[in-house]
Amino acid sequence: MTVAAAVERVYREERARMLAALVRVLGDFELAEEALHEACAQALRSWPRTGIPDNPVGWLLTVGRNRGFDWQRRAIKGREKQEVAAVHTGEAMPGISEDALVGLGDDRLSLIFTCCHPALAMPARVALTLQVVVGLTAGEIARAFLVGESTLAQRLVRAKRKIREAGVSFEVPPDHRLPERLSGVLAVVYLIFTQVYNASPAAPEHRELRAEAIRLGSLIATLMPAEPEVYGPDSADVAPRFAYGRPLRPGRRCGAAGRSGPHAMGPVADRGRRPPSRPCTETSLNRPVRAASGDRRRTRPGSDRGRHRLAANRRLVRGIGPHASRPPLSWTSTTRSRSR
Amino acid sequence: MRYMLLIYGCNRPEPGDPGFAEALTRINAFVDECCRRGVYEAGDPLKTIETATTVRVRDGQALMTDGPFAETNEQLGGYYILDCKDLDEALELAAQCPMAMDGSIEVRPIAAAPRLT
Repeated sequence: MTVAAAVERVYREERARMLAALVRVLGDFELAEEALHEACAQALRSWPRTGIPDNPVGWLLTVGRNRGFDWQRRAIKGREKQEVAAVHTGEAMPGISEDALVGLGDDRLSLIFTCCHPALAMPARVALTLQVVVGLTAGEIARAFLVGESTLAQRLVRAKRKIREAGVSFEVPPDHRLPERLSGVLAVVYLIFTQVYNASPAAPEHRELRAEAIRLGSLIATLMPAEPEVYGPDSADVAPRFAYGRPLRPGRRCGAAGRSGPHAMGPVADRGRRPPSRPCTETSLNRPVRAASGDRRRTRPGSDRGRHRLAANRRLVRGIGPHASRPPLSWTSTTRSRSR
Repeated sequence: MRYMLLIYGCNRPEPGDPGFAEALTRINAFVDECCRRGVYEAGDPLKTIETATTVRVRDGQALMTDGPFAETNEQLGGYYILDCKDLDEALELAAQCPMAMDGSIEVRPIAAAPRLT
């Protein structure tokens, strides 16, 4: 494998994880992104001489962290001439070792909770999660949600600055705050799934993104096994609600033939692979979609649920655009009952 | 990080008004909670906006104007300064503040003031 291919592969497969670790250590999204890019550039220069390290993720994280700290120190030095009274250096973990950096666990979950913080407006949360966690470019997100690229880029920059300046934590929220934070996170995860589900079937990376959405959903399910919101209305297994869309053949589309884009379609579960249905309750990833669509009809097992959800998804996705008349994702009620 | 909780648009009962004792008890309980957590730094109500005077210095001349007379719901009614762990704690306390039931509370991080040597 060439060095370039190796760097590309590590970046593609571990980008979100590395970014999460760097965000945690540096306390700043923009700085973390720059540091990661710089580390990759450094790898392209160094690895042809030194060979590909055994632990490329650790190597990139160490270089990225050191570079990030360098930049922070330089910025502080520049400001020291005016002697800033107190400086947020973000060096909460200055002495962190390489092993500890890699071993921060799956920080992607804390990253997604930060990206979905209620202090950010919903469009900013979705855009930020898609960019930071999933790795879409500002242009791709802008096209997906039919907003101008500069508008979206500005939205992202503003959100990242607010996270840094307002002291939004980089932690998974403590237990007593988890439920209220969860519904917003689930909506974003669901939107990522539906969005990439509609993506070009020829592009293999979109399959990975879909898998990423499912993985994030599953991770939340594992973290909160007692939280019915994470599970689907008729799921008996650990996989979150939308994972039923997974067995669908790549490239199979739903929605009107010939149409494409976010308004044309949503996920339709492969009914043949679905476990035996129970009556749908309001407690699931599916519920907010139905709530947002105003679809209060109780769906019968094996009914046209997929079609209803399709319509609901369409409204949800549309709600992210600039012309949303009201925030579609503002449901608050939590029905705990799973039985009817 | 230090945060300022800016309180807008709530009616403040005066001594003698019905509900005054109850309001005071709730506010004191909130301040006690902030102190118990060790985040409390300062907090005061402000007199109504009719008492405000605005000062501007232009061409070396200090100009005083009566007011401004903002709408009631736009008036800054008071503030708290809390030194919290993160934004989440500040938001949690803002939600516990009795004035949030009535008006609204803007949570703003306090910036570090640059000083000359």
